[in-house]
Amino acid sequence: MTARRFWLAFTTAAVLGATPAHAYLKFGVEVGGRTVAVRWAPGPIRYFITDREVGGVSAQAFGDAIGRASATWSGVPGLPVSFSPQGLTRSQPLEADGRSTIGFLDRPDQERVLGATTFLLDATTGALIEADVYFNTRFRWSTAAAGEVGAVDLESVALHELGHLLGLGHSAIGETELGGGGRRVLSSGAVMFPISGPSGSISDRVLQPDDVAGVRDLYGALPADDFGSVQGRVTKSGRGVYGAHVVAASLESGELVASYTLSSTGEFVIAGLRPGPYILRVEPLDDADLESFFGAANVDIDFAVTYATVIPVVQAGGATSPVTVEVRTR
Amino acid sequence: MTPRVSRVATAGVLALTLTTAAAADAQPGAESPTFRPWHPLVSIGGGIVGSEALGNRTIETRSVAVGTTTPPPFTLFRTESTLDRGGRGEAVIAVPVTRTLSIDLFGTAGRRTMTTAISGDAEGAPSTDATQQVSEYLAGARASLLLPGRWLGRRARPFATAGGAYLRQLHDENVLVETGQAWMAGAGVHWWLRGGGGRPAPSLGLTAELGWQWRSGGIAFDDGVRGLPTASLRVFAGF
Repeated sequence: MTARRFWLAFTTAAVLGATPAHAYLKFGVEVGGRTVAVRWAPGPIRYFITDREVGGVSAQAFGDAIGRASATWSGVPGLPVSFSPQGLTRSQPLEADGRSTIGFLDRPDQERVLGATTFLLDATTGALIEADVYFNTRFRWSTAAAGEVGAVDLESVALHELGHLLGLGHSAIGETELGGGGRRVLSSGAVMFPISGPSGSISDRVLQPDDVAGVRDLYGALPADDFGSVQGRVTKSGRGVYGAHVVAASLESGELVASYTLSSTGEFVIAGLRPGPYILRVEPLDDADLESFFGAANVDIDFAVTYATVIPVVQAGGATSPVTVEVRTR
Repeated sequence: MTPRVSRVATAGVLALTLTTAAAADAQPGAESPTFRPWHPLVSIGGGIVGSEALGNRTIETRSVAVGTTTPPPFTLFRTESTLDRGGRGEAVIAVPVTRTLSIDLFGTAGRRTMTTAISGDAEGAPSTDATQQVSEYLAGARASLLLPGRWLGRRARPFATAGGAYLRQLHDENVLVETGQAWMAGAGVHWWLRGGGGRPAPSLGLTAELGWQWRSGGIAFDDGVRGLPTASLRVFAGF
C-alpha cells in the first residue's frame, strides 16, 4: 500500500489544497491532480485509547472524556459517521499501525501545542487509513466536571481535535489581542477556533453553529430542504482578496457561520445556512497565526473590517446571487 | 335600539363604530352623500406606508470564562432593522350593506427597502447600512362606516374603517416568502364628484384616508406586534 502521513496539527500548515467550492476549511489531499477532501467513509470510526495515566488523569478518565467529546460530534444531526471506542492499547499516537489511537504523548518540543491530529492516507485514493490524536503531556490536564483552574480541560481540547479528526480545519470566528508574549483570546465563536481559552475554561465542550455547519457540509449532511448558501467575492481595488474571512450572521437567529476566500479571485461560499437574511462581515485573518489556517503565502491581511452593503437572503436548497464586498487598506 | 342598529350589529362591525352607526343613520343626511346598498364601489389608487421597526439584534460570540459551558456573550456587532417608508398600489371593492356601512375587500402591492444599521463593531469598523428590497402584498377585508359630516358639505362625508389582512412579503429576488397578519384602523373622507345621494345613478369620487396598521409575523426579527402609519388616495366609481 502506498501511504503518506500528513501532519495536520494546531500550529502547522494544515490545508493541502482547498477549493472555493468548499465552505469552511477542510483538509484536502491531491490525488491524481484533483483535491480530495479528507473524510471518513460512512460508518463507525474505530479508535483506541492509550493505556497511560498522566498527571492524575487515569486511562479510564481519559477515555471517558474522549467518549463525551466523541458523543458530542456524533450527536450532530444527519452525520453518517460515529465514533466507536475499541478499548485500551499500548500503542502510542503517531505509530503507523493502521489503528486510530488517541492518547497522551510527550512533546516537550511543542511548548505551545496542546494537542494535534495526524492522518495516514492512501495516496492513490485519498482514503483515510488511520488518524491519531495526541495530547501534550507538557501541560497539566483535567477531567473535572466543572473544570479546574490551572489545568487544561481535556474534553474541550478533545472536542477540537476530534473535529480535526473528522476533517475540519480551523475556524476564525473569534477575537484575540496580543500581549504577554502571545495572543489572548477575547472571544470565540467556534470550538474549531485555533487558540484555546485560559486554563479552567470548559466552554469548548459545546459545539457552536459554525462547527455544526462545517461538519454537516463536509459529510453532505445538510438537507437541501433546510439549508442554503451565500456566495460572493471579496475585492480590494477591484482585485480578488485571498484569505479573507467572511462571517455570515443570521438576522433571525444571530447564529454565525463563516468561510474564507480561498482563491486569488476572492470568491467565497458559505454553506449550511438556514433560510433568511444575513449580514456579511469581512475581516482579515489577524486573530491567530496565519499558519493556523493556510499554509500558502499571499494571504492578504492588510484591510479593515468591512460589511456588505446588501443583505443576502438565503433560500433553502439554493445559493444567493453573488455578493461583492469591496474592502479598503487599513 | 332601532331595528336598523340591530342589523348592523349582526353584520359584526366593531362595537365602537356601531355606536357611531346609530348616530349616522339616525340622521339620514338629506344633504350628505350616502352609499347605495348592494351597489358596489370600486376604487383604485396609491398610498404610502410608514417606516416599520423590525427589531434589533446583538450578534455575539462567547467571551472567555472559567468553569462554565455558557460564558457571557461577547458583542461582535449590533443591528437595527427597519422597513423603510414606501409606496404601494391599492384596490378596494366596497359592498354597501346599508346606506352608511360597507364591507370592503381590498388588496395592496408595494415595494419597500429593508435597511439594517450595523454598529458597535468589536474591531471598530465604521457603522454601515445594509439594504435589500422587499415586495409586500396585503389582502383582506374591513368594515367602513360613513360618519355624520354635514360640515363637509353635500359632496363629502367622513368615514371610519377597521379590518384585517393577510400579509405576504417576499425578499429580494423573490427567493423567500414571509407571511403574517395585519390589523388596521383608519379614517378619511369620501368626496363624491358625481352621484352619492343614494339615487340610482353611477357615482364617481375620491377617497383620502389615514390609518394605522398593527402587524405580526412577516419579516421581523423580534416577536410581538409592530405599528406603522398609512396614507392613501383613491379614485372610486359606484355602479
